[in-house]
Amino acid sequence: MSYLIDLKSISSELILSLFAVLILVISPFIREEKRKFITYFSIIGLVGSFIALFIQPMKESLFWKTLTVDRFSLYFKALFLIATFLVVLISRKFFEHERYHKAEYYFFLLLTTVGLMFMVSSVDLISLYVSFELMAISCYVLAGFLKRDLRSNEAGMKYFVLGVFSSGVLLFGFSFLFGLTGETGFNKIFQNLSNKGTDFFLIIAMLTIAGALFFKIAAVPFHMWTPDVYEGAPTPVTAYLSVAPKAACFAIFIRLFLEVLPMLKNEWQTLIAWVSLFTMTYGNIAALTQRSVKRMFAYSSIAHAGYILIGLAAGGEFGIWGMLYYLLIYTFMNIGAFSIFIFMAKKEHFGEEFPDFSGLAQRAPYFSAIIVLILLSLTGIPPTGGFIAKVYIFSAAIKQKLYWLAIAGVLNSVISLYYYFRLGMAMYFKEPPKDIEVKYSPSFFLLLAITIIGLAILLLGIFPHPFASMAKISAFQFLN
Amino acid sequence: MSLYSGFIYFFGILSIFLGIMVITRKNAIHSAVYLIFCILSIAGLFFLLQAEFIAGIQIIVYAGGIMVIYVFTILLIKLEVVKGLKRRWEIKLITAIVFSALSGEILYLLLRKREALLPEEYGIAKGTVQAVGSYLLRDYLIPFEVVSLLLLVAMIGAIMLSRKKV
Amino acid sequence: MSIFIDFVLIPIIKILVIVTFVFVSVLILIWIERRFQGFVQSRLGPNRVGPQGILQSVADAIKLLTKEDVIPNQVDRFIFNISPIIAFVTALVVFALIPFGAELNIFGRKITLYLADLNIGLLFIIGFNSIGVFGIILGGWAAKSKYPLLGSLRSASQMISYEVALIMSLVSVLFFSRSLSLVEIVKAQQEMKVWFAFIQPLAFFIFFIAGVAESNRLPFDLPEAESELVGGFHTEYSGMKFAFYFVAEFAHVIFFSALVTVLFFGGWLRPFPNVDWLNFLDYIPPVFWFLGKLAFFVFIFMWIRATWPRYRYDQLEMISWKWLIPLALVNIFITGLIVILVK
Repeated sequence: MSYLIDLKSISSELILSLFAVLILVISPFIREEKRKFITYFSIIGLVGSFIALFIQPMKESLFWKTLTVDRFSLYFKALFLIATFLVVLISRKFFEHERYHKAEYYFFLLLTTVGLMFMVSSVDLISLYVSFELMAISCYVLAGFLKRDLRSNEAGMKYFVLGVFSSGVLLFGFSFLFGLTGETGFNKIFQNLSNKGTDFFLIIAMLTIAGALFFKIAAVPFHMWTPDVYEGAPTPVTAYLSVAPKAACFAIFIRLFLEVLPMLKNEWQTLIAWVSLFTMTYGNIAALTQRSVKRMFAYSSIAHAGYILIGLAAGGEFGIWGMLYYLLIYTFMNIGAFSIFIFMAKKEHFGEEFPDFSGLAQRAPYFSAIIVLILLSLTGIPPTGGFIAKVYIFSAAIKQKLYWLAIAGVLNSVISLYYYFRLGMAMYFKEPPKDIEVKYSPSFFLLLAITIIGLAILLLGIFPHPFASMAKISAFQFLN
Repeated sequence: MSLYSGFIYFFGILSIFLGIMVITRKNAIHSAVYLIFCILSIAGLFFLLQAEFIAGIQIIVYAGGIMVIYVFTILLIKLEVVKGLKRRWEIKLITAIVFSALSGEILYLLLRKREALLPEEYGIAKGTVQAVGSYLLRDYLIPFEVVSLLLLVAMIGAIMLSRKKV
Repeated sequence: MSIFIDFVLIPIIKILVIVTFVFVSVLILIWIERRFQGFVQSRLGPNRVGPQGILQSVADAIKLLTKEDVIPNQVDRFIFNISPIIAFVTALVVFALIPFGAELNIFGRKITLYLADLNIGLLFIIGFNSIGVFGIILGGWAAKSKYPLLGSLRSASQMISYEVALIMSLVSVLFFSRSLSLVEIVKAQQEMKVWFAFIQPLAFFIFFIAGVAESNRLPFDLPEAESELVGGFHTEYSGMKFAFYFVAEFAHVIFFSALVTVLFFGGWLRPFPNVDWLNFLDYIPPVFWFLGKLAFFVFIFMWIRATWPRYRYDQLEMISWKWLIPLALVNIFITGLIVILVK
């Protein structure tokens, strides 16, 4: 029974799954008005799981080499838990406003997080795929969660049909890896492959796996679903989708490409550099033309995926380190960006177009200040965390002599300045519309989430050192 | 040619024939019936390749479970609607490309005579229930447990989304 | 030559014996069922053809075989013709795996009293049993008329719901047998010196109910409920094809009785294998023990049919999903716990 000791190392996942299932079991016994209790319950679960991350022992290989608990996976797990925590905080206001506060929502949210946590821990094709599917299927349900809302239905359906296809492509790539080596463990695949040298089928495997992951991180040319799904899905779910699954897929990228396929480094580096260039350029240019703020943020998240891919293309210590840091700050920025719409939600679709934001600063000064902070960070202007992250990423590209990519990144940041500040201008320099009388009454949780996000952005921008060194330690295990 | 390879050829050719029948039938339910037989004959191939557990599962899950759902669905739709669909040439072209790519790949793998080996030659145990069970509950314990969460999510999700009451 | 005898001649003889056994017992069963039901319900039942009407089934069989095969105009001919065959063949194929007894020595040659012993026997049986559903679903659909279609839809959902209970009840038996081969399951009971029905009563109970439902017998014969659906899925069938369905149903009854015998009542073993002073019972050949138990369960099937009223459709689904499946799960859990603790 030696494997029972291994359970200690995955205790944070176990705690979270336990809470998810408990939520499902106890929710029928709680009356509708007392459903608020479920929110507290899931927050307790998340905090417990977060604490367990620091207590549980790290171990190179668990359960017959299907999982590993290393610094890299712990970093990402902490990131997912933070993201889920923030999303839970902003969810309640949204679902109470929609009068659709269901316990199942938290169940799916927590189990998606469990799937993500197993994903970044996997060092085996099978456990990777199974946890990937756990994440994906919960995400499909979450995207279509608001059953009355046609747009949510559309989002769920689109995401499902395309997502299932991408899972199939991922599995196709995995089958090539298995077929070439007869192994499922990353380590053994790597050893087996490095003895053989490159192969035509290995390149196909790399391309298909990369394609499926590009879909999940919404990189061009697999980005089509993003604006529709992000616009239609319930806003907290959008915030979550744009952050956590993306981060996990970047983690898979790093682990698979650096641990299993380093022999194809030239090939995937070129591929990712080009995809990154197209992704950020397309995202930024499309964001320029949007009238809906929500769609604008959807495109901007595509652009950010492009920036993060620069780090992967650059590779090396600075590249990976920069990616990890960028993903952390990106989590805060993007959840903050989408929580705007929950704050603004008054009547149907209000607060999604630019005119709705006119003169917001006069009515909600605190909130507007934090939005401006988020926008600064998204653009990459000091003293925010977004600036530091971009510096890391671009300097990594320059170190690897990818000057063109770094220049493209900087130019793109300049483009993004325009559309982000269109929103800021509307809030501060335009008169509020006279005809609608709107009073904003954010809930305690929403204010808490916004405050945490604002503080985190400032903290990551002014005192980057402790967080950067954390990212550095986590990234450096991939060198040699 | 031994009796063994004779059986392999028999089931192989039968599967291909039935597979062709599946895609050429105009009537959806005829296709479904051929598909059932096709699955059974593939199960026969698995038997011959000593993957007995997979053969059994092929019969129970695919022929007995999934195909019942298929047939059930076909029973409840209007077949006339499906008959009216014209196959566009673009789709035919794409099908032809994908088909030839896949079969070309298989041919290539067969011709280069390298990696196409029986499971035993890879040092993998026979596909008996015991072997599969020890893989599931030992080597792949964690994926196996995660699958239980996955099924729970899929089940709850399906019930929640398809329930009439909002 | 020896290979020819071992791999061709003996299997062919076995197949002939098994098929004849099934057909003859079906004929006898039909007669017994009608007479017995007549007796239970204070009626006469068939009593004209032969002594006590014993030749009635033979007469019926001849009638069905020689009758004109009416194929209505609207039917889908391919499916209409193929579905009775599916039902019939799947009902017969599973008999290949039933062990009627251990080994016999005939002319110095060891002969096993079963056609095949598969490593995955139980899976194979369940699989073919579930394929048998297609015979009913497709047959009802192909007739292209409303009552058969309703019957076949009912049957499909009934089969699916009870199959789950059936398989789940088997899992707890497997904890003890540690094999899916039917022969091994009987041998495990021999080694443990106890019939599994005594250590797994709940599993037996669930299995038996699900078995009655799977063979579409009263009180679960909703697919062919005469009072609502005329003849259910086989309303449009006549002659030979109807006979196929009819034989398939009775073959199912025999098959499930045989399966209950093998899985829960020690197959060919004598009663109370743990009591020594009953050793004299060993002089009776094992085959007769098997057939005796088989006959007993067939009788119970008929008894249920004669006395039980039919369930309503929602009750039928409720029994499976709300009672049998949860009970089976609890049973698996408790059995697993006990097995671990005892070890």
